[in-house]
Amino acid sequence: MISKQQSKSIASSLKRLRPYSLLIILPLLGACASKVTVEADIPRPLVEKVPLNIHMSYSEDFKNHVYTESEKRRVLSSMNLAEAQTTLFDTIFGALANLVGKDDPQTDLIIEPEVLDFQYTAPNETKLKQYEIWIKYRLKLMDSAQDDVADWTIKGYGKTPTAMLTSATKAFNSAANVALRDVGAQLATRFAGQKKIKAMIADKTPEISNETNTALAQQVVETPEETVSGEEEATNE
Amino acid sequence: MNNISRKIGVLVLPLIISACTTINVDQVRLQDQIELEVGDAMVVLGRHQTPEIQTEASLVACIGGKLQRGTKDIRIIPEKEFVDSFYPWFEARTAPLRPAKLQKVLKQPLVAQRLNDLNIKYFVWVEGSTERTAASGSLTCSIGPGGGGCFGFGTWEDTSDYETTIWDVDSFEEVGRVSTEAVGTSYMPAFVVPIPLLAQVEGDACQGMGKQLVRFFNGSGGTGLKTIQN
Repeated sequence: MISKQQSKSIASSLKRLRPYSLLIILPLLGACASKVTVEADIPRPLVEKVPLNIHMSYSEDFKNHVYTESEKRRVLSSMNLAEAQTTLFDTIFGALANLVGKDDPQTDLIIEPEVLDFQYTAPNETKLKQYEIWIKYRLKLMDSAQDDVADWTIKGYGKTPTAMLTSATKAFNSAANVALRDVGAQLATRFAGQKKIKAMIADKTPEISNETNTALAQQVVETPEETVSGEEEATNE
Repeated sequence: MNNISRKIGVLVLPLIISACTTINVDQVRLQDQIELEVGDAMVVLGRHQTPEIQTEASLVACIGGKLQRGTKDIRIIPEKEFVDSFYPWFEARTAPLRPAKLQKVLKQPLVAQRLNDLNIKYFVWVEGSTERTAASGSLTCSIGPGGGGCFGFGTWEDTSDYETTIWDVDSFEEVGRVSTEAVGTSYMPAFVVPIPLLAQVEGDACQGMGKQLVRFFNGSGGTGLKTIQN
């Protein structure tokens, strides 16, 4: 049995421990698995429009894409990229060309993106003070008759340094945005330079093809000597 | 009353006693005259082209702030605002690494037009990082029903190594370079309560580099900034 004196002493000890409780709770919170819904922060690209009408075709899988972690010990439990990635492609291709609806007779090109791979690392796994994200997309480019024009594989990489009092959720959101911006940057700077796209533009506007091709050629700036990990592969069929 | 002042003393002490940092700042001026008009702008950008090269955004913002205070008639565009406004041309993968590449980017009418609208005359690129280079000592914290506390002594050394490169947008040439190396040792003695004596290495590197950049643009020794009033 605990005497009154003993219970008073325990109560006063617990009171004294109160300031330290945060020290115990905060690391435990950090260890919790995070569910992240990425909020896209993709600016409108500063690029010339190509004279093409593009329809963005998103499959149900793509529109509702959520990465779910199967390994229970990892930091992330799920990452919802659905809205962020459709915003990314709408923003980029909306600046690069005219976006048209599904059965629009003016459609020149149909683009169907697909998530091929998603990977991440957290500081407790790498012992580095950063959250990293890799995303790999395949873009299927088809003409208005749904015949394949090209397949374009693009990898995006993003990382965020750890910061005091920033949650893993915030850090993952930020790293995912950097990776999405990286994908967008590659699309925006290289789309007009793709062989098949150049040919489509030339076919569509033969009278202005020389002028357009010159302007678009300027848009394709050589890649820097050093690039972040996850190089882009573009294959024209 | 005595108890309260003792507690305040414990909290304030680390702020008064802080560890020291040694800084070396070097400058190379490749052009005598820096011409800026009132209303012109500059941008300070961090390098992020590889996973290893990730200049801290906080340092870039700090240098931008120092430059803004030191060159009052010139607008310093914040990094995030600039990079968003020129997306996708100054992302980690696409940012030009040499002035000649910048010239290629500016061949695009939309990019050139925006740069012109913002009156940007100089690019200040910052590359480098602050890293922990040594650590020793041990510090143990424990907690029990009777209370808790920390005992021990820890010490660590942080090193900042940064280089800023200044590009002239009109001539597409590098006009100067400022490099900074800062080394600072922090201490953490703990007797019940840990007392952090922190060396603000990144902050001191920013201070040193910021001052030097202001001197570079303001032109110490009769050369440098020629601010033209309209």
